[in-house]
Amino acid sequence: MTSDRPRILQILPAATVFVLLFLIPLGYYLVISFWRLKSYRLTPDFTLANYSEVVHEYLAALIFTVLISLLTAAITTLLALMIAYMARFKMGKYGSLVLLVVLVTLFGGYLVKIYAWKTILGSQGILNAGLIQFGIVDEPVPWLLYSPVSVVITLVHFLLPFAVLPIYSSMREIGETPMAAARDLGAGSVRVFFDIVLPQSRPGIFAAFALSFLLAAGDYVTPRLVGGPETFMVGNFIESQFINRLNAPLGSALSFSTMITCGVIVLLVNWLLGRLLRPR
Amino acid sequence: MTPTTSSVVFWRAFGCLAIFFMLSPLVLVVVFSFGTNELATLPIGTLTFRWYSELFANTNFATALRNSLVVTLSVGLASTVTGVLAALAFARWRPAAANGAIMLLSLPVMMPPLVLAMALATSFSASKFQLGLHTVIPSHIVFTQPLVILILYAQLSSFNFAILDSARDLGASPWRAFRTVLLPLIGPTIIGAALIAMAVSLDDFVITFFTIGNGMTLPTLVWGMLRKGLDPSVNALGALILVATIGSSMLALGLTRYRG
Amino acid sequence: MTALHAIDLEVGKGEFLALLGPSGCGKTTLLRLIGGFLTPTAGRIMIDGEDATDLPPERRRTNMVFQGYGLFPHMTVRQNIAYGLKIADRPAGEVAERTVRMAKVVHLEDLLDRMPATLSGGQQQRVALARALVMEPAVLLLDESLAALDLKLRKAMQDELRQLHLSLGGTFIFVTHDQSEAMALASRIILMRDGRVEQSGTPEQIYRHPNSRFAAEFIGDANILSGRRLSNRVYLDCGSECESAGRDGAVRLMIRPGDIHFSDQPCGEKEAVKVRGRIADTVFMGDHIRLTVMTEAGVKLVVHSPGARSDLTPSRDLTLRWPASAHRILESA
Repeated sequence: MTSDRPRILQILPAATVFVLLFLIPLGYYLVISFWRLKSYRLTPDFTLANYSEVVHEYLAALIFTVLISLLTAAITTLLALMIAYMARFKMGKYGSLVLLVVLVTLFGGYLVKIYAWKTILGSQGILNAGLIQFGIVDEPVPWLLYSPVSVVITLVHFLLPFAVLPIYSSMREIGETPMAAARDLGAGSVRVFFDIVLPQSRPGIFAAFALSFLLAAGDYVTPRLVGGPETFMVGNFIESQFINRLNAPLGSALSFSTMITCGVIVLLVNWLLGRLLRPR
Repeated sequence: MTPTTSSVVFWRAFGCLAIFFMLSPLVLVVVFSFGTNELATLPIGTLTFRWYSELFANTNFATALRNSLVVTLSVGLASTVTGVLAALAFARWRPAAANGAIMLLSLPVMMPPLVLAMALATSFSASKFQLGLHTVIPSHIVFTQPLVILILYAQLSSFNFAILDSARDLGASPWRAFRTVLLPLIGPTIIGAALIAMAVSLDDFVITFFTIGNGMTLPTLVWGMLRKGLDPSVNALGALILVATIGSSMLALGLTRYRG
Repeated sequence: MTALHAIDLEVGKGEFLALLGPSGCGKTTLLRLIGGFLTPTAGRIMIDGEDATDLPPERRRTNMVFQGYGLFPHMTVRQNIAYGLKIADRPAGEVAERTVRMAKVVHLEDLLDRMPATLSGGQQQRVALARALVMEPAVLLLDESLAALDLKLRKAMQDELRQLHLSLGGTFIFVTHDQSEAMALASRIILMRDGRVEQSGTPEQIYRHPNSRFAAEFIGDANILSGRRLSNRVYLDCGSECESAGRDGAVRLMIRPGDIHFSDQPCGEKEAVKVRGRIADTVFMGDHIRLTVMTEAGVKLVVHSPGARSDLTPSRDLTLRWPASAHRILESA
């Protein structure tokens, strides 16, 4: 266990899986985005026709997806920040309890959660029943389900544990002593948060935002089950191109266009966070 | 730090709201699975096991359950083996190199599952592989092994390998030192990581859907039931999946003594 | 469990006060109370005549140099030092000027734009010091802040602190468990034990006139000899006697190793205490030799012999003596 040669052998299994079942398929998938579909058969080619179709036909869907995902990621990151802050700095044991609950709900079924929100937000669902019961509205609110609202709520609920983890991780690295020093020098709790805690949580905040954003942008099950006809996201188009039309090249072009767009946005956010959270 | 009372009240309230928000959908699924009301509304009706018995009578359920178990256990075993071996190697690298390699291996987790699913599906069909459980299992391994590596590496990176050297110094062979000194210390973590890998695999829908062909696992069964319309035993199935994944992950968290 | 029992402490302006004691004696608790990080369950804290008991740290006119320094890792040295001034809303010009001036005082003017992680322990210590001092606090608190430095660096920092105190003239209170550090720096030492003040006085006062065995042994080395007092005369278990007024009963005699003379040196005073014994061990300590001497009665004494002497070998018999003014009688218990 101490010489170097066995070390390479050790990572071979994992590396093999990685190459065979990730790199190569992804590479192939990228390549076919330049291919063509001739009478439902995949034909090797080199054409940008698929990408131009993406730009011409699906730009609106792409923009809509990006916007919804940005909104979702922003809400998720903000809530995750509050939860992580509370668990780390306030409320000792009680904070750990909240953290535990949030982390445990990381599991518990992807489809199950979406389906649960579908029943909660429906016209005869719990939420509407409660609103009517308490006299807040007279009739069921229709836009709670099958609308961007339901998509965002469901996605936030699903993504929150994923976002809390990296932020909490970052916050654990922050020492108590610099915070006490800041208070000693005259900073109140709010000041300490913005000057000391937030800048040092930046890696976690970025990871949380990027993860939420990417996962939201690529999701198709959520809009399919709780989104309405106006909330078709790119994922839905990718899936339908593949399943219904067997048009893998177009699906692939859509996939990679989305990922590149998301990648660029994530880099922008990283730069923005750097500017915002720089100490003054 | 003596917080003000309004601050205490605010955070308590927020904490309660957060817990309520996160848990209520899950709790509701379980609750509805025991109620006679066919629509998922209040009142839930009387307590009944009807949906569970309908579910168990469903032939698809038995198939899906069997397939899920096969997949989950195989994936758990395989990804734990590949993950542990890799993590042990990474633990001896320089942190920068190790983190880079781990990040690379974690890419499958960070992309939208749909893209990975489609990439795998198109590749399988191009290489003329039949789709089935034998394609699902490797597909799962590629995104569960990073989790195993991450969990194990987190513990190993702060591990004092000098104790292995002292064991060798006292006469133990490398294998013996590993077995009697290292393994007992990381054993619980390995089991925890395996449980997490299994929970993730059990719950996976998107990748399974595209790589299983005509077969089904529990999640794809849920999907099928949802597409067919209102079948209340879906609540029962959902509750079962919920309990399985949460139960396994809580066990894992306890074993790995996870503190963030 | 009481971390700190009722204490009445007055610190004068310009004092350099040391809170000295073993771990758990309450010295850090006391310091944190003064700094505002703990609230007393009873009693009041007055700073410059004002009642500061209910003020949180951010509003007190104290500043602390923390153990581990607590530098802001994401800010440069300059930003660290300037932080308190910025919070106090001082104008930018004044902030810059005072920051640079304080950096010069602690010899950091070339490191102003570095990040804390790139600095050595001694440099980090000085940043923490500058950051606190630039606020011109009524009281500067130091929490064992020299503990992490190696010996040479620690002595250099002690000198710097002494210089700073002389030139700035502020009131410094520092916590330490190192008695030599307390003696080197403090104008007054508060010796603490189990949450109470054991003795308070200048270093010389406590060294020369410890009130208890604990004080005698904590500050400097001490030989503690047990004996009995009868009719104003003390009879030591090692066989010697001396005069001492007081109640009859068990007593202890404290004599510092450095105050014990050998038989062939003149003693000076007529009434001297004599002890006969044999050298059991010698250790070369650099500027002195440490001798362990065993008496016939089996009592052990430690003696310091200045300078090098090749005739001090184990198994040699010695007569030790010291003037009555050199020892101190401690009432037992």
